Amino acid sequence: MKPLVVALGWGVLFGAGLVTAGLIHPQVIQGYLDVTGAWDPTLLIALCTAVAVYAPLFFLITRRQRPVLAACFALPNSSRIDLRLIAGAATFGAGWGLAGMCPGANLAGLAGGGQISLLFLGCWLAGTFLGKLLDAVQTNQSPASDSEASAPQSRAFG
Amino acid sequence: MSMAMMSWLPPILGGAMVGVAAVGLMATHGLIAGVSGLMRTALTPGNSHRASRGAFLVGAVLAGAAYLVVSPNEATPTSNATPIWVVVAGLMIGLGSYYANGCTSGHGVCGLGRFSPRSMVAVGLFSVVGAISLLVSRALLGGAL
Repeated sequence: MKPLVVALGWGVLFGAGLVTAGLIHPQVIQGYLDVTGAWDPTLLIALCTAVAVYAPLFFLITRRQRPVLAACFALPNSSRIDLRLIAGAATFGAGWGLAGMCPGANLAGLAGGGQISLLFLGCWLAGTFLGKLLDAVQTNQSPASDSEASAPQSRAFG
Repeated sequence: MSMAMMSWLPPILGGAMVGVAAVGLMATHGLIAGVSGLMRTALTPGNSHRASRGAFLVGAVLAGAAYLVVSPNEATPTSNATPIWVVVAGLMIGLGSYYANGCTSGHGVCGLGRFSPRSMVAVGLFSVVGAISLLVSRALLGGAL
């Protein structure tokens, strides 16, 4: 029960941060990408601040043996920059610029975003499962395992 | 305080909150606070802490809902994109974050925050392609998007 409540609390803080920064608004996200027009530094400022907070604490925390409420740190162990990463990031970017929406901002803005936010959520999930399906087809009809124990590279990323 | 400083304050405060929340999830659960990854793994049988992953995501939604209640006069998110383009964008975001193994939060906040080379490539690439996508979609579709 405790891990659940603590995770919920971190999620509330995470969502509140996105709301505070104004990142639930597609115009703000597109403003970051609008380098030839009315460029808006909001996303860049928020991202740099978040990274500046995350980095030192991350290295301090992961020097411990284990997290407070779990057995181990689930860190992505791949450092390969492959076609899969390149194609994925490019596809993500194309969708990002098109609508100014991404998963975190979508969830934090879901309550006020109406049908368009729900439509995006549904299509984001559909796209994810399409990817899993394509993987399953490629690897000889054996479903691509997504569990941490058997994944060739940790998928705990996001 | 100058106008410029006032407009910097919300993203600095909000970004710090996001950073604390993300590193907090690492400290307590040992998990990367990437929204696309947490969503996928929460919905996939066999992963650890599925309920906690889901709880984090629910928390983010609740924060937005609470904000609506507290400040009902604030503007709610509205997209310039028509539903058909939201569908296209959503599918690309889902597929892209699946293959790239991360989105703005996972590669952006957590990945850059632990100096991951893969995340540096991903963030640079999706920012550049995002800028081009915005430019091209505006040029081709104008106000019709």
